[in-house]
Amino acid sequence: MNSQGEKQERTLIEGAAAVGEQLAGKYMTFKLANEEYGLEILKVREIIGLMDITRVPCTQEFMSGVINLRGKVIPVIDLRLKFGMERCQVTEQTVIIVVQYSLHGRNMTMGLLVDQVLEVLSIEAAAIEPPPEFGSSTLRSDFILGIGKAEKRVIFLLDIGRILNAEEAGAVAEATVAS
Amino acid sequence: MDGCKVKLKIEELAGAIVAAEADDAESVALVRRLLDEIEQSAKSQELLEPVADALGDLSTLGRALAGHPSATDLQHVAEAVDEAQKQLARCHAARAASCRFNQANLKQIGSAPSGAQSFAGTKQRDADTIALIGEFLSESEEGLSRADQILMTIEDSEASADSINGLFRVFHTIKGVAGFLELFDIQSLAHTTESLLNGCREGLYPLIGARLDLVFDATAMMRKILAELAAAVEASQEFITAQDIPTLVARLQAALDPTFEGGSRKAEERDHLESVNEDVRLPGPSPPPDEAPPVESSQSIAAEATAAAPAPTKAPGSESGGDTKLRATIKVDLERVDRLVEMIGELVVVEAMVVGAPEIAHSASARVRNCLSQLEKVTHDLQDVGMRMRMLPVSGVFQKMARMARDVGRKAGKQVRVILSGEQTEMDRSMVEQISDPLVHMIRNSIDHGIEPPDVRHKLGKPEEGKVRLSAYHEGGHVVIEIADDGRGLNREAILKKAIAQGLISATDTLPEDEINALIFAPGFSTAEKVTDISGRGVGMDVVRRNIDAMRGRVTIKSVPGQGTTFKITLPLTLAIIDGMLVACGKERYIIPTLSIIESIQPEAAMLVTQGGSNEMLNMRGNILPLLRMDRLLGAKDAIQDPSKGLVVIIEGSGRRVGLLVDEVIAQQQVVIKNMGEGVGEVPFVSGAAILSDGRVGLIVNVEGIVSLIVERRHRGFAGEGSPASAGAASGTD
Repeated sequence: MNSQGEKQERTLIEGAAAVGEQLAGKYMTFKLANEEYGLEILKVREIIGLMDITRVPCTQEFMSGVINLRGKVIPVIDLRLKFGMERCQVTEQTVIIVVQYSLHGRNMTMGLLVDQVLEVLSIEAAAIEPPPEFGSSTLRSDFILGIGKAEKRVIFLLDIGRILNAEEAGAVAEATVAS
Repeated sequence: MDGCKVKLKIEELAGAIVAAEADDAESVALVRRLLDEIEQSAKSQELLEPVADALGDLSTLGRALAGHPSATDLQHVAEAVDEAQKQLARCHAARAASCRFNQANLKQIGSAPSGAQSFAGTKQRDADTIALIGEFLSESEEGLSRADQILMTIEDSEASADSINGLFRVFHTIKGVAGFLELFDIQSLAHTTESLLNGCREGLYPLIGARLDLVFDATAMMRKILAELAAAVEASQEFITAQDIPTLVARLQAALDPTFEGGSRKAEERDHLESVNEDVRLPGPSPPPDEAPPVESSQSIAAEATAAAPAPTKAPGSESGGDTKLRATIKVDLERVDRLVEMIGELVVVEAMVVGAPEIAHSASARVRNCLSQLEKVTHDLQDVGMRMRMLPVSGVFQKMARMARDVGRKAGKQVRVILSGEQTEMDRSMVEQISDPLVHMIRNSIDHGIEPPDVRHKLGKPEEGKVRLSAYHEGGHVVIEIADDGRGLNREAILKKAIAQGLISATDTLPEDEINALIFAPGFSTAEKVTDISGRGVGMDVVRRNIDAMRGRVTIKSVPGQGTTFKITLPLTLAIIDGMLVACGKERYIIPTLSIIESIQPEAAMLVTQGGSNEMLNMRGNILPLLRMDRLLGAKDAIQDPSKGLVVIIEGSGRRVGLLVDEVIAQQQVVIKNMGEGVGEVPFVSGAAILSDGRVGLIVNVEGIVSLIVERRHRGFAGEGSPASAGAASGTD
């Protein structure tokens, strides 16, 4: 993995620099199982404790349901399920990160169910690498903007706009008709 | 710079006019002096056309003050002053917007060739120009509605000086603004119409017959052009109108000649009109030679004959339209109102939470209880006010419908009288907009297919003039809109035949009357040409149903053969809040809109019927209804499985009834409807979400979705094996 990564770095050195420039900044990091992820801090609105989630029928599994955020109804996505991991065991540290971003001119607000929030981390350009190419055999990974390195940790920087794209939002609707 | 001095003077004049009394010679003299001064200084300056026009009007009206001015005269001058002020203000704004156009350019507006490039017409519009166009569009729209209203009044009774003035003002304003926005097509159309009206104003010819039609046409055309302009601005494209303005302008111009008889009307249309008139004309005074043959009944002919003489009488009350005193209003950003209404909704929910909290509800303190009831009252008053802020009377839409009915009737060669009632009934603003489309379809159908041609009506012993009654009223917390015609009614046999042919029902089905009528709403049913021929109704009816469903309304049909058809649309008062029944199903709770609930029963085991072991049905006093389980539809866990232990809620949607098995009904409550949040997308069987009194989110059940599931199944049954047993079972009708 490591040597492979270095090879890639050499071939993509210029691109990497550009990616780094673009992505450098502050990230809110959180944990899913043993993996660490980062969200652009400006897109994070707040962190709330786990609350009662109303399940929505006929949606994909990763859609946990909807919650009442001070009078606004927002969807909550279980990121573990979204990334194909096992469903998380709810602990005291389980929280919902409320993110807000705009997609195709629409303002989206949604909650992300994560295991644990870690910290706000400043990642410099030099410490960011472009996303690795996993090949077509693996799960979709285009929502990973890049990989940040801090000390010995590896942090996957997420593109929140792609976690749930419009296509999927539509696909949710086409979920099977129960009978 | 023009305007500065004039502007000051006009401001002074505006003040003087407010203070002036008709019987106070001194104040009138002051007004006249100021008017003269303005006229003088206007002459010495180069003014933009619209300003000059407005000032010209002002001087003309000012002269009327010379003799013994009446209060009405003063009122007219005050209006003209208002207009002049508006034009001046606009010119300043326009100048800011078009600084790249020099004075000379602006001055040429009047003579510029039609269709030339203009700063409002080109692709590049700066923010100022767009703001100006926006203002122009909304103002013109208001003006045109007023014009329609006045025209309808004129057609019904007679043209008074006031009503013609009202019309004149509308086109005058449009002309002025279109002028400095350099929208020459609009300007020329408005100008010619204005000239035509001016002739009426001066008593050269009456505003009846073909001339009245021309003004109608001009209003319609103007609407179309403005819609095109709006679309062009929206898409930031060049504005090129697709409408044939020159032809209409030429027709209008022809009508300026006092000897005009309406000959420029298209030949076929005229023939058509005349053939109608053969049937219609009743013994009575033959119309004067300069009138086109009127299509109205003898009554209106007489009325028009008297109107032929210029009638400079006093305003005939509020009937003249457009001149009624407006209540003071302010314009508020719609988003803010929506936000406010939404927050009030939240407050209502929080209030319910506080009042319902056990710690407080069981409080022994009388003071706390008093405060709580006070809180409850205030919140509900606030909710009421909030709701009202979004409410509009339906009169605007109704006027539009009356206008459309007139045109459709004329095209179809039928005499139609539209009777409006309850125009002041208020509805949520967005619903007023949404109801327009379905009404257009229904009224068009009523006239096109429902009402018989005059000769047929005559043979049947009905009055030749068909009636379409459009009424609105409140009924039990809902708004009801009714469209009733006195035409031939629905042809039940034909509908059934068609439905069987299309596989919507099986030949062995015997449907109750309302279900037969509801068949005309089935999608696709309407598109077959044959239906239009035989049943009379159908075109666009599925659109009607869909639109009304979208507003969570219901539509029912009553039809008596030979006597007419009545469509009754029941709508919720507002789109933001619904009355819902909170039901429990396993661990989940859902809200079913009360409007869709017919009744709820606890079924006995004997009422349950199954077919093939899986198709469950409920025998309700002889009616067999399909029984659906909510827990299976919505994937709830741990719900009661034995129907006789649960509760069946009978819901109705799209004219069909279905039983829905739930655990229990918890409460009836009002909830604020929220969308599910971006990203969730459309969810089958769920139409929205609401915050429940415990702060959790509850899902609102989409009754239409559930009912259409049954219809789909039936379709599948027919399309698939087509075995009568399964089809009959799935249809679930008795």
